[in-house]
Amino acid sequence: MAMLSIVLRNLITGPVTTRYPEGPADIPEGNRGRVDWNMEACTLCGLCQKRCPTLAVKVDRRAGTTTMEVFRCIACGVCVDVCPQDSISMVIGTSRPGYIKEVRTYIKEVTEERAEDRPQP
Amino acid sequence: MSRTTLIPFGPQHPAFLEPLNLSLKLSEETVIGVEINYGYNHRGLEKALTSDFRRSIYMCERVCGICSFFHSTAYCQSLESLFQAEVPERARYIRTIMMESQRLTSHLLALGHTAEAIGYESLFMQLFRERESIMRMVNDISGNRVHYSMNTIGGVRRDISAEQQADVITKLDGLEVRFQELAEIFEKDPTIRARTVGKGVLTEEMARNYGVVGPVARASGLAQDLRDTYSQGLNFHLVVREEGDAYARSMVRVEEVLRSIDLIRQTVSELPGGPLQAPVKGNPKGEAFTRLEAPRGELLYYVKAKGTADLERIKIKTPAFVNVAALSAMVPGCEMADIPVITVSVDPCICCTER
Amino acid sequence: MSGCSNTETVARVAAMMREKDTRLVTIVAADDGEGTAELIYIMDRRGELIKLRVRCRWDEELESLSPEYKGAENMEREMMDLLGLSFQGVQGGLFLGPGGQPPLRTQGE
Repeated sequence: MAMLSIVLRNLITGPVTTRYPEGPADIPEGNRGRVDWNMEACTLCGLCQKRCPTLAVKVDRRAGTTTMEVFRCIACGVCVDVCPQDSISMVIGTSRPGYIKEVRTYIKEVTEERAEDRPQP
Repeated sequence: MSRTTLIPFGPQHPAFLEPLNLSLKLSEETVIGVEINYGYNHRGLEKALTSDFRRSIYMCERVCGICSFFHSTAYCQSLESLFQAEVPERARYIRTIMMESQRLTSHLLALGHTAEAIGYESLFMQLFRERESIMRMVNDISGNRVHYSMNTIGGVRRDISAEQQADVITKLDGLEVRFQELAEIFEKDPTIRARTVGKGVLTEEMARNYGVVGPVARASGLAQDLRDTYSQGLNFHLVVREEGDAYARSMVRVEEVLRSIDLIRQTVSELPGGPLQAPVKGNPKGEAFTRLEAPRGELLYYVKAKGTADLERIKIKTPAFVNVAALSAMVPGCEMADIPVITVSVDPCICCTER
Repeated sequence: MSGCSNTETVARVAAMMREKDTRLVTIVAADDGEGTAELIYIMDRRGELIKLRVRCRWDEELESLSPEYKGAENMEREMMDLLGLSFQGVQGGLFLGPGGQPPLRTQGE
């Protein structure tokens, strides 16, 4: 009998779920979503590559790129914590299902002065 | 003299959520013997975890999705004792809050699955609806629903803000009222009682012989809970029942949900200020044993390090490892139709069992 | 049944387990890197851990605790799989199939 009253109450109050693919997803504020690099601030120091627990991040100083294997990333946020320039951030959101093993590449626009700043290999 | 029939139950079975195989020997409808076969989910994590100790924090969480935070806390505590790092008070409180929240989600899941195995879909849905509110709560605090990635060696990585504290209290108040209603259904509903009372009895003697832990042990009259020893300053008392059947195991979990709500409330209201992390330098060396009371029972981490970034040996003793084995004492004598209820009442976790 | 490296330890564990407030938590086995295996029998007595250590050779057949204590059977089977130890009267094959190198061994025999 107790269940019946709950069921009837549910009938009046309506669904608690959201119609996600059609409507917006209901994501809490603190959610860690996906990683994003701000390459303007990035100095390609490579600390994110060193500390990434799943080896998803590769920093190539010569080419001036940071690549991230999306399927390897576990959104732990270690790279965000260790970045000395605060150039990495987490974007709230759910990730889309992928058809291919996506690799995201962030390219640092290199200006003349900046090229000299770079440590020589 | 009737003929005996052999029936394989699992690893793929509609009533089983876990890849476990029970090879049942039946005489008509009654089970007279069982052989438990493992090995469908072994990932070799004890070997994999011996790589870089900093990376292993996140791999530890992947041992089990339901008690992920317990695994990472046990691992971090082992390494903290190797480094002799003093974890700040606030970090310890936050760990307690997160662990008890995860215990809530785990127990609500186990209760929900018990209801589902009985065939009580409405109760299953209702329990999972309550569970979802806790999942959203921990998502807001930690950033993720399952793998919180919140622990680090020396403390925690995320703080609980004042608004989040208030939110936790409101959520728990709401949950407690609604859960009391469901608890009453669990306790009194004739359908549930008919399907669980006296089913899969594990006597106290057998419980001791199989070394079961957690709610399974407490439902068989063994008063053991590590929180009893380690929850200094908090008002906590054990839930113990004597019957040892599937009903008692569910009722222990029902009671523990209410106890956990109470524990989170106490910790949130007394949350001290201060730093979140203690600095840790160098590589670990030595041996450490850490125990925690995970939702399914005692979880032990043994870590041996030799002063390099790679660890030498990690041994994880998970509660499900001993609890699942006790099925071979519970199942004989029961009817074929009761197998799902009995197995689910143990809360088997094959990820934990096989690692 | 005597003469194994761990016979004495198993007897002590079994004697302690007969007391009501003591239970076996787990058995840890590790390759110590010096050609022997180290077994640690961990017991709980009123919230305190008691550890009994024993060293044994890889090629000997060790004494099993499972006749005395059912819960130890899977622990021993796991050690057989992962470290290639052997126990009297216990069949391996808990997680791994037959054949193949035991994964947690750092050195061969």
